[in-house]
Amino acid sequence: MSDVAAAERSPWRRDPWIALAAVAVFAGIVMILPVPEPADPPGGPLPETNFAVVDVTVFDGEAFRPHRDVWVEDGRIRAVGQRLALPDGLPRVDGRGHTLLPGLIDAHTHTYGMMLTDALRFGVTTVFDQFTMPSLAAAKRPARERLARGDESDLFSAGNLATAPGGHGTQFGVPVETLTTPEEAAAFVRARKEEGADWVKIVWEDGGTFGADIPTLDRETIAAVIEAAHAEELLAVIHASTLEHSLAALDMGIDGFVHVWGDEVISEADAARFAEAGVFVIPTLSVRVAAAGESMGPALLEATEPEHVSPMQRQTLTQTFPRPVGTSEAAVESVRRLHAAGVRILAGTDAPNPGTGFGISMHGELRLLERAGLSAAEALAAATGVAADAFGVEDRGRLARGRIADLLLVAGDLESDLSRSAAIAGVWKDGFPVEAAWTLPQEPQ
Amino acid sequence: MAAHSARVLRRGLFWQLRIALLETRFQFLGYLRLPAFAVPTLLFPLFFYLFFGVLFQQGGVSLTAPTYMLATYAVFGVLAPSIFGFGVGLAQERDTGALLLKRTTPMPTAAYLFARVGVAMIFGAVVVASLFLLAGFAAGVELHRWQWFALAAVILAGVLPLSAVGLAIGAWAKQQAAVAVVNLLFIGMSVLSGLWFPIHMLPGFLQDFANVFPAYHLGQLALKVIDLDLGRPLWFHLALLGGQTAVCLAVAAAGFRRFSGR
Amino acid sequence: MSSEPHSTAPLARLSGVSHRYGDVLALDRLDLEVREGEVLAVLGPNGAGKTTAVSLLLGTLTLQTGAARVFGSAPDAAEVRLRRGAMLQVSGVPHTLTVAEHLALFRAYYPSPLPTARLLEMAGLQEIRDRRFAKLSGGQKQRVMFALALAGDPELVFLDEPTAGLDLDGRRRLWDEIRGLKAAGRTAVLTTHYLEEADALADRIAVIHRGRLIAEGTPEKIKSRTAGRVVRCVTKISAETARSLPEAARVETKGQHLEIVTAGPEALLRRMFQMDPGLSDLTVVGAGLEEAFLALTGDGAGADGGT
Repeated sequence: MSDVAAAERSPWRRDPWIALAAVAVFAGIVMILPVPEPADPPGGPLPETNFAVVDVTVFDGEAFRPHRDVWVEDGRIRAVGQRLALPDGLPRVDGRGHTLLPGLIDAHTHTYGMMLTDALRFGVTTVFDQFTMPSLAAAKRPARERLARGDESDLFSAGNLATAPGGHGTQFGVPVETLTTPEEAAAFVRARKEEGADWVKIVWEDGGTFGADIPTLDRETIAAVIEAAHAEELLAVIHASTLEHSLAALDMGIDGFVHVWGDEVISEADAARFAEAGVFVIPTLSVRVAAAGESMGPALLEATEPEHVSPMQRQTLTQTFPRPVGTSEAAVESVRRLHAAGVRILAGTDAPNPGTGFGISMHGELRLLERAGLSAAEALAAATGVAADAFGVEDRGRLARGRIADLLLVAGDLESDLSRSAAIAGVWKDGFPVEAAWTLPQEPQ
Repeated sequence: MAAHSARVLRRGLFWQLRIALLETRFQFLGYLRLPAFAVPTLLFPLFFYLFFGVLFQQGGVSLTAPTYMLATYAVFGVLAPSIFGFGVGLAQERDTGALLLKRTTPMPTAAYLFARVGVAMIFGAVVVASLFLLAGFAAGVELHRWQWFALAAVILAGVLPLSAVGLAIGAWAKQQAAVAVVNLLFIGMSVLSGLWFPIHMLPGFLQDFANVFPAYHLGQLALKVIDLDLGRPLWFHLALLGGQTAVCLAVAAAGFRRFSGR
Repeated sequence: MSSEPHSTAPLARLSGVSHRYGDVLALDRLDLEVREGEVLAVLGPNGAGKTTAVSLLLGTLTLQTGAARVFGSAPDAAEVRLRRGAMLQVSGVPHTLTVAEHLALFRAYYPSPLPTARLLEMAGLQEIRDRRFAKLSGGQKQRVMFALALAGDPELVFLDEPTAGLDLDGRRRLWDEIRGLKAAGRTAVLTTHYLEEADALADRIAVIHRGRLIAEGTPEKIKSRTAGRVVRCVTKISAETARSLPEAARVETKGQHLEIVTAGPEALLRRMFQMDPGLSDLTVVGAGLEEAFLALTGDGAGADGGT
């Protein structure tokens, strides 16, 4: 009888174990819940990012500095100097015969597809996007706030651009919020800010330069948007395709131009006005020469090992505009005069427009800027320090203590041969090495 | 026989714990087989959160709302099993006489109370875990690990004061009355304590009135973990919650004294 | 009663117990003993105080006046609970659990419970062990409650109106099971308002009326005192005269009619017809329990209708 009773009692001997298992499952669930990445390292150590590049020529965002050691720790640059006292056992990269520069900043892109991965492979570690879907931008922005292993460059974006219903920017099938009157400007800009826009991009494009007639914002509305952006403490930049519009925008208090116009060469007096106003210009010569029928795309493609080029890069590099618009000479000359007058020039590609490719075209853009009279250091600054300063982006664009370790190592001396920028020997994002493309640089045709 | 009984009594705490676990298991089984209880209890908070915390927030860039609602809907999620289990469950067992029958057996009263609290905690834990998963993986809520644990701990500990409310009702009301009272309290306390929408959306006098509800203080304590509370000090909420629990227990004790004197 | 063949100390005892619900006196200086090995039937009409007496012995009611001891201890003492079982007048245990689950739970309360198989067999529940309580018939529910009362293998079992609400068949089945208890040597206290039930099951019957013990003894002894009839007629005989007749246990005037409770209706009527040949509108009916109790009180002096 007692055996039976004991046997019958056994089921509830399991109860404590069931209870313990339930507690364990609950704790397990809590353990897999997402936690925020450390927002601002040095919060967490990243030992796998600890290394040094030794005896390398550094371009620090402004100028070349030969024979420097660069010490990276926890995803940031710990020190830059000559013959640093590096700890024993710290992994070292021999920098002799190489140039180390901050990861490049492409100041004019449109994020799409695998862009951020494609760009990173070519040393572009940060992009300033001038129009993409706000939801995409919102999804990608958080990554720039943390240091972590990844295969994408960081994104800053205007998000939804300011254009008229049916105007330039609405033709891509992406839903675009538009406006038509100055009265709407304040609410429009506030909505952009709430979406997370990092600045406001305005389109002033009536299609005249390419023989079309498309709706565009009127001057009053553009002025109102600029004013609203400043009220919200956002930069306002503008796509203006003629010199006349550009000068008008200058008078309205615009902060920057995302293209150089292609119709007329700016006078030296007007260039001085640009300089005086303190504006910056992102000429996007890559797309200007492509629009003029002189695309650098095929040459860039040819100089690169095919396995480093994504199908999308290949496709956009080989695409051409339906018919030539303007000449490259006028655009290049305007950039020369603006630069000579002291206007800040920023490197941007306008990828993925025809004739351009994500990341890869930055190496073409550098040489186009060189053609417009910028020195190698000035062209590289346009792609690094000057760009970061113009958009008020901290932590990037310079190779200095405390900055994020976004790095591009190239074989050769860039000061004497800027075309070597594409001879990529290594790319680091947040101190983590990433798979880098390498190219056989040739003279562009 | 006397020696035998004494030996049995010496089993003491261990014996009580075993009975408590068995009571918990069977009460839980009983409720699990009662779809009218189990389904709304488990799904209402999830649907509410899915609707207001996740779907309504799509495209928004702020994670504040889903995080805020995670705390308040989790409190809402333990409110139902706590006050329904005690309020209605106890009244029902008293009406049918099942409770009287158990009082003639050696079942320790503590084991019975343990089981009722335990069942509310199990249902509460399932709701909390589901809400956490929904928040973490669908709404994009990110909290520090200690915050996840602290939030779970605060909310599950909240089963105790909320159960005390149910106990007070179950000790006095007949079953039918208990259903009505508990439903009224459930809805009223949820809304007026800021569990359905943020408390600061209520008019000022209602915000003051919310102080009478344990669920309000529990909600504020949960929000304190994620720094989204109204900013009253910790001791304020703990003191009021403790006081309210003491009052509920006293009311319940009076109810049971009346019951055994009948 | 001391002449009965039980010499051991009582297992349970109420001594001089009175209990009030507000203005209503439910028990009035009641003395009651439960002896080891017996089945004691506490017999009385509804409202007589049976359940109150049992509740005091179970400790579910707080004692007001008098003394209650079970196994020599207070009725709700922990060791007392371990040694007794109870079947109360309750509508049930949680509906969503099965018979076997209820048994498992109640068995767990006790140190050496009866095996489940034995309980199922004793209460005739083998066929429905996995059925939920909600799905059971009234009789099946009562048998589950019976099994729960026995779960701890108690020495003393309280059965408060165990057959209330059952049909004849259900009642007979439960009777069989209660007889099984007796056969197993357990002590049982059974409350009922059926004399027949008390007669069928008990060794000893205690009759309670209006909170007082009015008779106690073997079923035969009680039956002999309560097997009365009510003679009702219109007659010239006065109530005064009727009371003096030896066969009349209780006499009451109801309008034109005279009602006489008697154990020997034939002799009584013979005598009455001699005294009043014009006696008319005669009915003779079996006395209900109520009348039987009134008969047991010995006189109709209360004359308060008795209902």
